[in-house]
Amino acid sequence: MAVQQESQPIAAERTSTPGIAVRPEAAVAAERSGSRWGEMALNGLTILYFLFALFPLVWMLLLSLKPQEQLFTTYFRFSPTLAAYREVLGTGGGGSDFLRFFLNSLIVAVGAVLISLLVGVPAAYAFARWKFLGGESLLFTLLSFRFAPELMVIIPLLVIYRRIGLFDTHLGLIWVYQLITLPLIVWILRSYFQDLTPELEQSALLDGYNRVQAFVKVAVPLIRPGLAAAGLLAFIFAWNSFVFPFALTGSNAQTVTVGSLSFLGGATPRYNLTAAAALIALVPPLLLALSIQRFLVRGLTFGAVKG
Amino acid sequence: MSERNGRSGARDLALDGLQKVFRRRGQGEVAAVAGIDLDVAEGELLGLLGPSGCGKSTTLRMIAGLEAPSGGDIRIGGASIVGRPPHRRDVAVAFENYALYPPLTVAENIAFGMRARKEPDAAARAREVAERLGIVDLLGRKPGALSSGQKQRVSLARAIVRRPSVLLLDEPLSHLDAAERDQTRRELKRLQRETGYTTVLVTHDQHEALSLADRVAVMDAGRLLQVGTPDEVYDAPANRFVADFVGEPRMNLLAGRILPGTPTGVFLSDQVHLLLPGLAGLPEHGAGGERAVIVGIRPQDIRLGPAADPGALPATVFAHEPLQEVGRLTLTLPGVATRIVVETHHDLVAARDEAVGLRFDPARTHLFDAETGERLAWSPNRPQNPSPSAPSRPLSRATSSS
Amino acid sequence: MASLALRGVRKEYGKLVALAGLDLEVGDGEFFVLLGPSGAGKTTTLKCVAGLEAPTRGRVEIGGRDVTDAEPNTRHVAMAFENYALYPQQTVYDNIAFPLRSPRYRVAPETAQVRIERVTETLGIGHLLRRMPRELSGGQRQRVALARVLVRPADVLLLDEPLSHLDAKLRAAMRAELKSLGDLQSTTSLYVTHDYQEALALGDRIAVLRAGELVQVGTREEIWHRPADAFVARSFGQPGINMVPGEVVDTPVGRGFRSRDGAIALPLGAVPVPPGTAVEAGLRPRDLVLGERPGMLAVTGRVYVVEPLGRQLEVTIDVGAQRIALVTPRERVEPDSLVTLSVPPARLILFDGTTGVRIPVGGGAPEAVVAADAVTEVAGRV
Repeated sequence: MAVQQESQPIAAERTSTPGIAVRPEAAVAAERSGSRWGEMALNGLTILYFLFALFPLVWMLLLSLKPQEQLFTTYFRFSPTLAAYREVLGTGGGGSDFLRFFLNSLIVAVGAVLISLLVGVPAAYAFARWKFLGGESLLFTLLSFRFAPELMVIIPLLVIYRRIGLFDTHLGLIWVYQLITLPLIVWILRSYFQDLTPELEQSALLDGYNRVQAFVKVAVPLIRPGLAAAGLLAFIFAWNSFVFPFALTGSNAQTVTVGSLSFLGGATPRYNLTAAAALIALVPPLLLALSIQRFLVRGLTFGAVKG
Repeated sequence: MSERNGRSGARDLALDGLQKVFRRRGQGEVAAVAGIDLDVAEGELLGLLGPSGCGKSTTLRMIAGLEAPSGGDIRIGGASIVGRPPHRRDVAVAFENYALYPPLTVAENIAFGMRARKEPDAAARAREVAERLGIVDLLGRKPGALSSGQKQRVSLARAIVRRPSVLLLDEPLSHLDAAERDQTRRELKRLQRETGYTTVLVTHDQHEALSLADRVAVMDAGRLLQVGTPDEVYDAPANRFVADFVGEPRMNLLAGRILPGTPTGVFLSDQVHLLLPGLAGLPEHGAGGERAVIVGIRPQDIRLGPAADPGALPATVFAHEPLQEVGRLTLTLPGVATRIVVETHHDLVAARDEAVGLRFDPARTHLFDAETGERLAWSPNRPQNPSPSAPSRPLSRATSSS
Repeated sequence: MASLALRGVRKEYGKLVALAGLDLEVGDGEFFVLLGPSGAGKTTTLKCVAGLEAPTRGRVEIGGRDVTDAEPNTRHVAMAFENYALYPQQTVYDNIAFPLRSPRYRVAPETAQVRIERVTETLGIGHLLRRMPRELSGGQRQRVALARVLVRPADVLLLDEPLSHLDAKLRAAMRAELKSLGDLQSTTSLYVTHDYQEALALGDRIAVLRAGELVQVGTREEIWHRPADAFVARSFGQPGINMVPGEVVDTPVGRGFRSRDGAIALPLGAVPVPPGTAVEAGLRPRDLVLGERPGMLAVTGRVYVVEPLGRQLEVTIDVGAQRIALVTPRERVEPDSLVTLSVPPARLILFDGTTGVRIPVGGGAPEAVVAADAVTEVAGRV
């Protein structure tokens, strides 16, 4: 008697019986029996999507391993070489600016994120906990920085930067990167702070801590996953920024994004070098993401829902 | 006597070895309902009582057809309904969250199912049921404008308008405030008696189950532990779990030992020996070796006396709560880790650390096996006239020996 | 330790008035309970005392000192929150030690340890110190929250529904423990609850709040026997008090009460209201007796529902148009049978029919009992 019932409740789905209004669950029960095929189909689709999504990356990898002469003549069959990497990194003896660009990127992105965190964490806390005059508009203004195309502000910025001597400096880039990193951090972290029950800090206040101590000792440690997620996202955006460094730097503070493209500027475009440079530039965000993955999975979805 | 006289056929409900096994990743199989047998007579209200996760809701959902059993049978009037879709089972459910359709009026909500089946006299029947439940003046309103108690009644009306053979009530009173709950509970009981629906009430509230049900079925961990009238379950709990779960304030459960030398009582500690005349006749007492038991006694069944009373157990007041309706004393017995609660007359006054004497009525003292938790049957030498109000003769004694 | 006073404390959130000018004095060492339904302003009161909310108007004084504008951490006040507010990333030990590491209440780690061990011993959570809050049951978390409050010195303890998240049986057990906890009973405490049994069990005095206003302050006996109005009377007791609408009538033996349909008539003795005044008579279910009793007034009704309640029965009886609940020792009572129930006239509580305010019923209860039959007769004729 037990066996035959597996798929019986299906019929319940389409009827409308007011006494029995929990029909969706009956449907779920029915789906469970056919879930093996569904699962396989889902896995298949996922694999297809990954192939599609990863293809450019694979193509770049192949490109970076090709010797210059086979660049335009082959697809998958070639004699792989690390020559492009050697040339980009300047280890072949030819010398290269790439490492300097790489270091610039690192300084500028890390600097921008740190300053954004320093300003953004308390700001996010204030936005989450207190209603103050103009608070909402301020928050929206902050977000609107992300709406405006960077190209719109780039010409006046260029003029101003040249005037006040920030052109082609690390500090100049760090400053302008706040437009990218600060809204991101404030918006993500605000939703984290909102999810914390205020009683935790209130309890600390009554336990003999002042408001700053309650913030530092109780609230901040509890949003660590958010801190990791927001910090990483900000770093990636800063690292990948192209328009600002393209316009606001010369040779001194140039970043990898701009630097990698210089390989295309010669008489013959060196696609293999660009590919190698881009792949190397991929390493820091990737390493960072892997190292804080523990926080990230929870953090990104957490922030995503409410942010 | 009921609205269903027009229909023929018995409307008793029978569960026969009903099982539900869930397969969960990493946990293997979990038996939510581990084979239960239960008969609900026609017109009876059976209270299915248990803590959350005990399987009572799963049982209800299997009867309703929302969940397919893994084994066993469900019969209404002798015919198996397993395998039938919910709407063809002749079973109606009133859900805990009422499950009303917000855009429809109360009248439309009640008539909804009949309209869907194109039954002709839907509106008239809805009105009839509304009259019976005293909600006629609500018929034009939307669910959003109703109080919880009213929603509960509408939900009930929607369930019984179909004249089902079996009515299932899922925690019907859980969302009502105290005053509404008292009133609705009484009306529900009255209504069920008048209409004569075979009813299964699922609840975690022992007060609700005792108040409403003709018989109570206590469940835990997917198993039926005891089925009986409210008085039977209260007076003779089948095991430790039922003893603990049914009754307010909860039954005092004290670990004790029966020693070979003194088989006429239970040692609650080295200093406290509870005399239970007739205990020697405990059939399971076996060879008369040492035996670990749990002594159960309800707070209402302990009499309070002066500390000097030689026939009483000495106790010390830990806390006195003058609750006005009654008084409640929490006491410590020498050498006993578990505190003992006594319900007293409302005007009793007691101070912390005051010494008092406790008298137990053996006829109302329960014994459970310490390992299995099962009730141990023993026949106390009953007092001649076990009047509930008269204090019993000296039946327990404190010994200070070890 | 110190006394606590609220003077005209008013709190508005925009247009919403959470507290409408509260005056309250809690004596040194007193255990004071605030009772009311949700939204009555209980928690707002606590937060105003703690300094977590600033009153719109009025003053808060602790030990005679005006602390209305003082920061929370300078008020010397400890609070247990309804949701426990344990720090999830810290162990139980660190949670309890948290106040003792604060700039204000810092003590040497060894001293802290001694105190923590003493408090957790008392509360029976000594074995949980290394656990994380998420590994604890509700009852254990509640104890940890309590330990964190008791471990530090405080002038005033604020307890916000500390037992509300526990199941009924654990709640009853914890109530007894709170009652016998010396630290709690000797420190000025403000305890918020919506559970009337907690209020009766614990409070030296009880304040009943409704919609931001204080309805009554008194001892448990005052609140129970002389409730300020019908709202207070309804807030206490399970099953709830029976309210019978009717009016004051004149009888040969003095004033009497007569229910609207005339089915229930009771002698009142002296009452300060004229005949014809619309009133409600409150009768507590446990004061009523099934059957006839000498010296009580008997009325007849039809049994509506009988509900077993363990050792007792809850019987609901239709007396005229009135449905009356009473609690009686277990016996055989059949639904729909005609029964007699007896009302002790001295236990009647009278309320004004329109305002709900209690009307004092003139003393002489014994005479009233004697007069009972006369009134019935008179009422029957009216």
